[in-house]
Amino acid sequence: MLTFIFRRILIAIPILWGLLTLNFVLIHSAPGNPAELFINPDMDPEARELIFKSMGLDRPLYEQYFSYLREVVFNFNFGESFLKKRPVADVVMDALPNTVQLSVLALCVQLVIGIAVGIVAAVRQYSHTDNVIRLISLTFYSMPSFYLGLILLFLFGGGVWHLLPASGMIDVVQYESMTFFEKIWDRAIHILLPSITLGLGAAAGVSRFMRGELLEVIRQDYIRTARAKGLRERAVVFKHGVRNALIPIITLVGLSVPFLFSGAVIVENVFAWPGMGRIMVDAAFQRDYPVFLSVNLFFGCMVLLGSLVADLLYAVADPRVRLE
Amino acid sequence: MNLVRFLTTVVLLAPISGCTGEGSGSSGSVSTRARGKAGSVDTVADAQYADRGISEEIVTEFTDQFKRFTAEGKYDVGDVLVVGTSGDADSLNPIISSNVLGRDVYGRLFLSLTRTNPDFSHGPEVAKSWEFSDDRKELTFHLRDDVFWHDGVKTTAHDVKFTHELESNPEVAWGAIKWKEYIEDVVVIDDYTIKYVFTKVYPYQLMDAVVGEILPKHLLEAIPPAELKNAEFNRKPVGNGPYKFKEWKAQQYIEIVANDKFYAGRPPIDRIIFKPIPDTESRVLQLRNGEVDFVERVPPRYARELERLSHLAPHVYPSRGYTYLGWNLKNPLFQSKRVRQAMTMAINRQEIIDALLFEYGEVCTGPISPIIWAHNPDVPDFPYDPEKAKKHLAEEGWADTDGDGWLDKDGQKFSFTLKTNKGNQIREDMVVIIQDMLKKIGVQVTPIILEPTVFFGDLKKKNFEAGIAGWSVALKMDLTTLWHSSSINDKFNFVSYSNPEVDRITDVAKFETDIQKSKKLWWRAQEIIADDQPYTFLFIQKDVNWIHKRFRNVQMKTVSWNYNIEQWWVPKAEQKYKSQQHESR
Repeated sequence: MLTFIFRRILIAIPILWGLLTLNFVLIHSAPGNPAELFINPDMDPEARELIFKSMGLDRPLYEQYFSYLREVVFNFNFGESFLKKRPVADVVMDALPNTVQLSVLALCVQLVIGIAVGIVAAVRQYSHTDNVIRLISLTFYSMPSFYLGLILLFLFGGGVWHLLPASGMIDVVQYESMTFFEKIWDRAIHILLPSITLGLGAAAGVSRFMRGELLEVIRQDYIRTARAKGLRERAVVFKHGVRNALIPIITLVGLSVPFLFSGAVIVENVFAWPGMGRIMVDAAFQRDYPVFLSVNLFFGCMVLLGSLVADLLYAVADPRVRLE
Repeated sequence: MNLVRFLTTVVLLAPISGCTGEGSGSSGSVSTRARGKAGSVDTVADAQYADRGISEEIVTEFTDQFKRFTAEGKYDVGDVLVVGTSGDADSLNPIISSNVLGRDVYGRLFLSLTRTNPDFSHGPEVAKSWEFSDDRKELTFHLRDDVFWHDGVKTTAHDVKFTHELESNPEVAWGAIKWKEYIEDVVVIDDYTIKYVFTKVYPYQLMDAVVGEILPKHLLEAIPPAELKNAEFNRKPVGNGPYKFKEWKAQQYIEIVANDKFYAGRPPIDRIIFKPIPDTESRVLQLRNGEVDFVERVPPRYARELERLSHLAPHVYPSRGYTYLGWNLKNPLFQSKRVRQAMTMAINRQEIIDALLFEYGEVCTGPISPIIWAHNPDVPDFPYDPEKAKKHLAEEGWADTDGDGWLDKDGQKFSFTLKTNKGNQIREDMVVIIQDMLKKIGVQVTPIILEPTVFFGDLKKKNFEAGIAGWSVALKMDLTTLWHSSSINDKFNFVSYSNPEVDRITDVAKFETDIQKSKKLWWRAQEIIADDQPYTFLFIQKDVNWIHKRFRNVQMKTVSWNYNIEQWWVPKAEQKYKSQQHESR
C-alpha cells in the first residue's frame, strides 16, 4: 500500500512539471499581455515600462520560466498577482476554503440525488417513472451549469420569488451582528443555490451511472440466489444490489472532484461566490500569469489526488482489489 | 478626488466591462431628464462649466454648501449603503491601486490638497487656500490644522511632501508619475504651509500639484518604496477622509464606516459596503430585489425594466468619454480623407444610438468632450447621407466594375475587418449594424470580436484595419497622446494620425497660459481633426446609475457618482438597517 502511494507520488512529479510547462507556454503564447490593461492615455511609456519591470515582464521568456520554476520548487513561492497586487499564495488561500465548501456540498447533492434517482430508475426499469427520470436527467446533464444557475437565480433569487439570497457567502450587512445560529442559517441559505446548481448537473451523470450499474448487478447469480432464498425485494435491492453497485461509484466520485472544481469556475461567477473559480476567470482574461499558473497547478494536483484517493477507496471497498 | 486614477481606470474598464461604454454629454447645454415613473430626479448635465476646469481660484461654493448642510443638521444619521460593483478592488492604497473599484473606496478614505467640485473647479480640502508667486513658479498651500489620520495623528505638510516624494519615485511605479514632471521641489515651510516649486509656467500647475491623495508619513516611511506594493497598509489603509476602513474580505466585501472625527463633520450614513458581483444580470437582479442599494453604470438595456420599480431612482449624467471607430491610416484603403468622410456619412449614428442606447446617448463630432472648456461645438460634421458617401467614393475611383455588389478599384475590392472587444454588448452589436450600413454603399466589412487584452494589444501593434473603442476624457486639456505624430509609436495614436499643423498647435497650446489664446488654438485643432476624420466619432454615452430611493440628497455628476456621498442620508423612518453604533445623533 505505502509503496503504491509512494510510486504514485513519484509519477505525479513529472506530470505536474509537464502541466506547469504546458500552461506556461500556452498562456504566454496567447495573444495579449497584462500590460495592455494599463492602457491609459495619461500614462507615459516610461511609467508603463516601470510597471512592466516591477512585474518582471521585461526579462526574456526562458528566464521568466526558470525563475518561476525555481521559486515554486525551492521556495514554494508562487509569485505575486499583477491584478490583485498581493502574493498568489494569499489570493489562493483566501479563496480555497470557499471553493472546498461549495464543492463538498455540491458533491453531497450530486451523490444523494444521483444515487437515489438512479436506484428508482433501475428498479422501475422501462416504466414511465424511468422514462421521466431519464428525460430529466438528460436535460440537466446537457445543460451548461451557468445556464442552470441563471435559471435558478431568476426563479428563486428575486426574479420570480425572492426566497434565497442571489449571491455571495453571507449577508454582508448584518452578518456581524448575528447570533451563532443565525450565522449558520445565513451561510446555509447562501450556499444553497450555487451548490444545487453545481451538484444537479453532476447528479444527472451519477444517476445514469448508478442505474446502469444496478441493472448489471441485479442480473448477477447472487441476486437470483437471494431472491430464491425468499428475501424481501427491498432487502435484495438495498443489501445485495445497491451495495455492490456502489463500488464503481467510488471511482466516479474520485474522478468527479476535478470536474466539480472546474464547474465551480463558471458557477462561482454567476453567484459571486468568492472562490477559486472567480480568481481563475479573472486571471485568464486579464493575463495574470502567476495566478493562472498556480491555480492550474493546484487543479492538476486535485486531479491526481482525486484519482489516488479513488484507487485507495476502491481497494478498501472491494476486497478483491489489491494495491501493489 | 484623483482625476488620474479615474482616467486610468475608466479607460481601462469601460472597454472591458459589459456594456458600460462611456460617454459624455454633448453640445454645450445638454439637459438630461431621467424619464419614467421612477425618474423623479432631475439631472441637469454639468456640461457647460466651460473653463472652470483650469481655474486657479479657490472655489468655496460647494464647500460652503457642505458646511451649511452639517451646520443646519436637517438630516438623520444611520443606515447602510450597499454598493454592487463589477469586481473587487486591487489595493486601497491610492498610490498602488490602478482600478476604478479601488478608487471608489480609497476616495472616501483619503483626502487630497483640494477637492474637485462638480464643475471641475478646485475647492478647499486639506488646503484651506493657496496662492502663486508673482512669477508663477511657486505655488504655496496653507493647510488646515484639524485634519487627523484615522489613528489620531495630525495630517501635516510633512505628509504632503512625503507623498510627493513617493509619487515621483520611479520605484513606486505610480501610474500618474508624469503629472509631477514639472515640479522641481516641494518645500515644507512649517507644519501647515507647503510650497511647490515648478520648472516652468503652464496652465495646469495647480492640477498637477494637487493630483493624488495624501498618505500618512508616519505609517509608510519605514517601508522601502520598491516594497510599497506589498505593504500591509494597502489592504488595511489608514486615511484621513470622511470614512474609515473597517474590513476587506477578498471578493466578498469591503466595509468602511463613518469617521466621527472628520474635520467637516461625521457623514450621516453609518456604513458603506462595496459588494463585488461580477455577473451583470445578477448585479441588476440584486438591485431589483434590494440586496444592493446602488449600481453604477447599469447598461441602458435594463432601463425599461428598472423604471417600473417604485423603489429605484435613476441618476443620469453625461459620462466622460466617447466611443469611436478608428481607421488605420497606414492601410491603403483609408489614406484618403474623402474616403474616411464617406465612411462617416454612410454610418447612421443616430440610428445606432436609438437602437442601442435609447435616450442615453448623443452623436459625437470631435475629439474634445463637451465637458471640457476647450470643446468646439462647431466642427465639420458629416451627417448620415449614403448617396453623398457613394459620390465621394466614386470620385475617389471606387466603383462596382464587376457587378458583384461590392465596390472595387484597380482590381481590389473595398473590404476590411472591423475589430472590437468582447464583453461590451453595445460594441458587439454595433459592429454588425455598421457592417450592414456599409454594405448598402458596397463596402464589405468583416466583424471580429476579440478578448479585451488581445484587442488592445492589436490596436497598439497597429494590427487592425478598423476598430471600435472608447476614450475617457482627461480633464487636463491635451491632444498629444492621442493625436500628435510623436505618439504613433509608443503612445495612443493607434490610427497613426499625422498632421503637422495639429502637431504644431498641440505643442504650443498645452503651454499657453492665456485661456482665450489657448482656446482658440484648441478650437482650430478640433476643426482640422474633425475634417480629417481619422476616427468616425460615434457617440457620447450617458451614465445611468440606479439607487434606492430612501437615500436623500444624492447628487451625481460627471465628475463622479460619489462626490457628495458624505452628505447622503436616509430619514429615520425609512432606514432599512438598524444602526449599530449610533442610536441618535
